[in-house]
Amino acid sequence: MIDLLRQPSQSAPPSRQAIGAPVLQVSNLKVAFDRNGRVETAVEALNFDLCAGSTLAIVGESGSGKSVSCRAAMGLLPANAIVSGSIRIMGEEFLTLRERERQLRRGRDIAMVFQNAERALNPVIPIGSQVAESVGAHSRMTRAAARRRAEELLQLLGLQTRRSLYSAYPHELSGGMRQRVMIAIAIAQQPKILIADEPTSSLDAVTQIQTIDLLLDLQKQFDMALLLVSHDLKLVAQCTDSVLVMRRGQMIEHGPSADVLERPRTDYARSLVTAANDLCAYLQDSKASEANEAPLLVAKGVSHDFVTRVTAGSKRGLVRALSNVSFELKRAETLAIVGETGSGKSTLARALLQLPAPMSGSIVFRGHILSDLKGRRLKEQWRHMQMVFQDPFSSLNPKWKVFDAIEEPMIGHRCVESSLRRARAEELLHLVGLPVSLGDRLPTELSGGQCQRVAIARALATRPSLVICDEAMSSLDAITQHHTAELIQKLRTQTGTAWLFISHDLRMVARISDRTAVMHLGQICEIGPTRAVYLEPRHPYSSALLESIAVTREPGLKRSPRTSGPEPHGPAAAPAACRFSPHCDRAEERCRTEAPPLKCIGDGHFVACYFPLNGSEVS
Amino acid sequence: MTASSRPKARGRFRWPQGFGVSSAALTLLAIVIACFLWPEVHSMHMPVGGNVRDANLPLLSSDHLLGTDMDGNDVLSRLLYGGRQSLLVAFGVNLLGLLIGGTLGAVAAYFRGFVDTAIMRTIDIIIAFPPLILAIAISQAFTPSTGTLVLALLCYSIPAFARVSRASTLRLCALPFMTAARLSATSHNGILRKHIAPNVLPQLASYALLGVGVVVVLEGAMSFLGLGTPPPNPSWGGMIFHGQSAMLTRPHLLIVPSVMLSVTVLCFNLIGEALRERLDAK
Repeated sequence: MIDLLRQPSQSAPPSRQAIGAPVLQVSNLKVAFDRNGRVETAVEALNFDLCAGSTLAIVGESGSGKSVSCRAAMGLLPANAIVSGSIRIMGEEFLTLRERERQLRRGRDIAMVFQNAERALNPVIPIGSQVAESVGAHSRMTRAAARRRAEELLQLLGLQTRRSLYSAYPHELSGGMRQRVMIAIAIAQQPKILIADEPTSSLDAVTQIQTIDLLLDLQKQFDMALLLVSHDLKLVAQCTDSVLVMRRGQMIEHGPSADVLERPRTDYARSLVTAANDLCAYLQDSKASEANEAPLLVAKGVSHDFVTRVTAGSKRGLVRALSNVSFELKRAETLAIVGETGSGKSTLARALLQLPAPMSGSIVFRGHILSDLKGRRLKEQWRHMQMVFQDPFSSLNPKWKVFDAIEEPMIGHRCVESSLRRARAEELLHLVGLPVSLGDRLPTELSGGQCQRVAIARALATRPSLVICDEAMSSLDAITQHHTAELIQKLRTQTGTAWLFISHDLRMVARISDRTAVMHLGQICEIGPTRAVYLEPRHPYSSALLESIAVTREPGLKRSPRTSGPEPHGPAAAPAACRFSPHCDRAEERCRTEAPPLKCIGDGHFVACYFPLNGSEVS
Repeated sequence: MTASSRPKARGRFRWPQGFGVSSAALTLLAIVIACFLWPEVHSMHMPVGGNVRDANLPLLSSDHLLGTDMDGNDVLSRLLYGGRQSLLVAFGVNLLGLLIGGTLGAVAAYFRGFVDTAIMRTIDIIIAFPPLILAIAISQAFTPSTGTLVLALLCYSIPAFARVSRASTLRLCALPFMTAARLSATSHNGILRKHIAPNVLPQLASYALLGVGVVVVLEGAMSFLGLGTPPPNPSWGGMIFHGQSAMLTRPHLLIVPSVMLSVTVLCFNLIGEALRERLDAK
């Protein structure tokens, strides 16, 4: 089994011909939910076959019925669901089975990888035990045998590195590693069908690719049928045999991937393809910046450490989340900060707001040194710097109406008279493209995209000069992202606000930012005009990161060597010098002893590397 | 699982959905009306000061539906006035506990640091004593009265509410809308009152409903031990205590208040449990 892992998967060409009999047949599936007497249809007239060894992707925006269909196939819908039609697993009708008999088939015949590994794993049980539990679920296996098998599985998924992760708890792992654990649990009994429901949507670009490649590898090894659910058409369609596009519960397109990708028949599928398309088209020339103007925000040498708790097998230590980060931001400018999960982007956002203040370094905002301000003086500055958060639902108080939420900063900062507040709130709703009638609703009655718009309206309520968006779009689906990005582009010109975008989605930020900074393990390794950074990345890491979103990607293509390695490199393990040097094929002795400073290589483009790539090297 | 394909539960009677809760609510309403309204509109015997000549009348005797106890007091009247006492104490203790404990817990979780340590360690010290022992100590230290009883039982309820409130406030404080509120320059007081309170209250309310049952039992236990409502005033616990001495000869003196106590506690638990489930489902 371990040998199988070590075999490079690209040695043999992907055998797409080896497609067997259908293992999952869904015909005329209809799912409706009974909500207090009101019947809402979630999926209608869904038909598809999934053959052994083949891969099918179901794509569509959130709420299109993708997950509901998968859960129906697993028999995991809530009690108020009304299911009709037929789901045959290995030729056997699944819908009429008793719960007990279904339980036998789950794991053995059909298994599922859930979207949110953080919630799907039990936080108080070591991951090894959770894998062992599913190994021994239906088979009479001794505890020791189950443990051995679980260790094998963890090893197969690259989770058995220098120290055993068998006894690690879910919170000690990164998002990508947790997703691997979920996969290990799902394939524990070598099911014939594996359903992966948005397995990568909460991961960054590099980890996404790794996870998808891993799933495809495993599929080949175990000859599973893979059903991949995603809202990112581009990401999945290229590595699957066929694609099924869903919208509002209905199948609107179904066919071989190449056909759907290249010749989408419906407008909707076309918009899904273009939503993820060619990023170069969006890249814009950065505005000519007035050189003499004082910058709005100057961060100099910002560093921040976290004390780690004692975890399994490791001692208490310091994690350097930010290390000597410096940058400037001008008025009405948009700067994107990109990087993998755990690169310190969010810590930087909070450090700028002094929540908490960084341990060293200075942040000068509108001429005030923020670390010197306390209490009311700091609050005065917050009026000019607001924030939009990642999770649209939890960034609004569930008990507050939309109007109250938008008016809160106006009341707190006393910047709008009480008689004018409602008018200003209505104006803001209008600005973010929401009808005024929404103002009396509660957040639970809004969709994710609408909530995010309300959060943007709230951030703009005090007419701030800087808005920080911390992964503000990553939890929205592709179409909603598209609309929100358009909105922000529009607001940039209307409000004269500077925006700081923190994101792992390189494609999205390319469209809206003037300049881009690439962060890796708490350091800025490259910063410059977006166009220059995207088209001619000079730092080896930036180029690896950009490769991961390259538009054309063949299935089974060699993984980018720079980001390979089963265990994502956490900041804790980073060396004292250039933190990218262990993965860098250009690294020399100097890189390992001395951290390279940011050096200007022309027109506002800075790179922290002793041996930057030449423009010509990057094709 | 699907509604159409779910196998029907065979050979087992199932209550219609929501039956338990609505019948519990109705029963409770009946008990409250009987204890608080009925004695006011309908002339009854007084619960105290009975004549020894009427002592130990049996069930269903004329003028005394449930008979009289050994002091000649009407049992029905004592039952209703006693229920009034028990319910008032239970409501009072839970309401005060919710307000004081809930505030302490939210303040501790919101400010963290020294405030948190000071409040929670004090509460830990109170929790360290078995509640009944502490309550006994307090009611012994002061003259027995309803006020002392409530004070004694608060030692049990305030820490419990504070813990629940602290836990859910901690969870709230990690959410982005709390950061947004700080960036909006909303004052600490405003955040506590407008952001935290509406989110924590439903949980505390469902906990209070479950707590009413517990306090009714505790009050009964205290009165049973002679530390609660001072005799001759009636309370359910006190009636059970006095009833047990005549358990073999006149069992209804013990059984009637015990049944009332159990039914009331059951009703509160059913409603509290249903409320908790609804909150959890969200």
